[in-house]
Amino acid sequence: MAKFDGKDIAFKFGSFTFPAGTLVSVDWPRSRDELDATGATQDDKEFFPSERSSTITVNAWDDVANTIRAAFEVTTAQAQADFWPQGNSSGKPLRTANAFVNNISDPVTHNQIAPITVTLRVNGAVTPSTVV
Amino acid sequence: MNKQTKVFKVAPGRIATSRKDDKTYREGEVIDLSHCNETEIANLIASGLIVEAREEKTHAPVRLKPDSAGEEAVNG
Repeated sequence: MAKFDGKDIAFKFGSFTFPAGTLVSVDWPRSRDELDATGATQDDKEFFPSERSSTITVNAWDDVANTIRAAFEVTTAQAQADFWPQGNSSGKPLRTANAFVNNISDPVTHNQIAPITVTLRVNGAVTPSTVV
Repeated sequence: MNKQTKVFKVAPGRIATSRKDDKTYREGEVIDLSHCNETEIANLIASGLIVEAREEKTHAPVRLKPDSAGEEAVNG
């Protein structure tokens, strides 16, 4: 089983693609709600699996031209998010969903490279596919 | 391989996204891989993502119209 590193990660939101050298990390976990169905006489907890949901957290280095901040303002309309964990090349996996921005943070600190962090709420299904 | 013969179907249970037209193709849909080289196609077949597209009746390879994006398969 081959491993991979994140050197080729790519992320797109709507028509916006991160400028070269700015994207640092993407975290796209998924979770599933659970309904507690435990009742009297049951010694072991019983759960029903329920709805799935996910958020996307993107970390990058902010750019002087302010293009990242402009593309991810909280007022930005919902758009398609595409994530290529191993790069956008043939045979590599792609994760796609509609999402909207629910948080953006770009703190600036003296004598440090300015980062920017965006959180997106996935709205609806996540579609995994393969790039061809 | 002739460019016109680079037509495949997405395998059962799989989804492919084309770099050529940015479209998503689901199970059984015909996809044009004329933008892929031989090695890429061989790897995609080996991974089980795509299978060769053939006409149901004639079993002839499915060909696309020159300007088709993958949805207008015609019998060549």
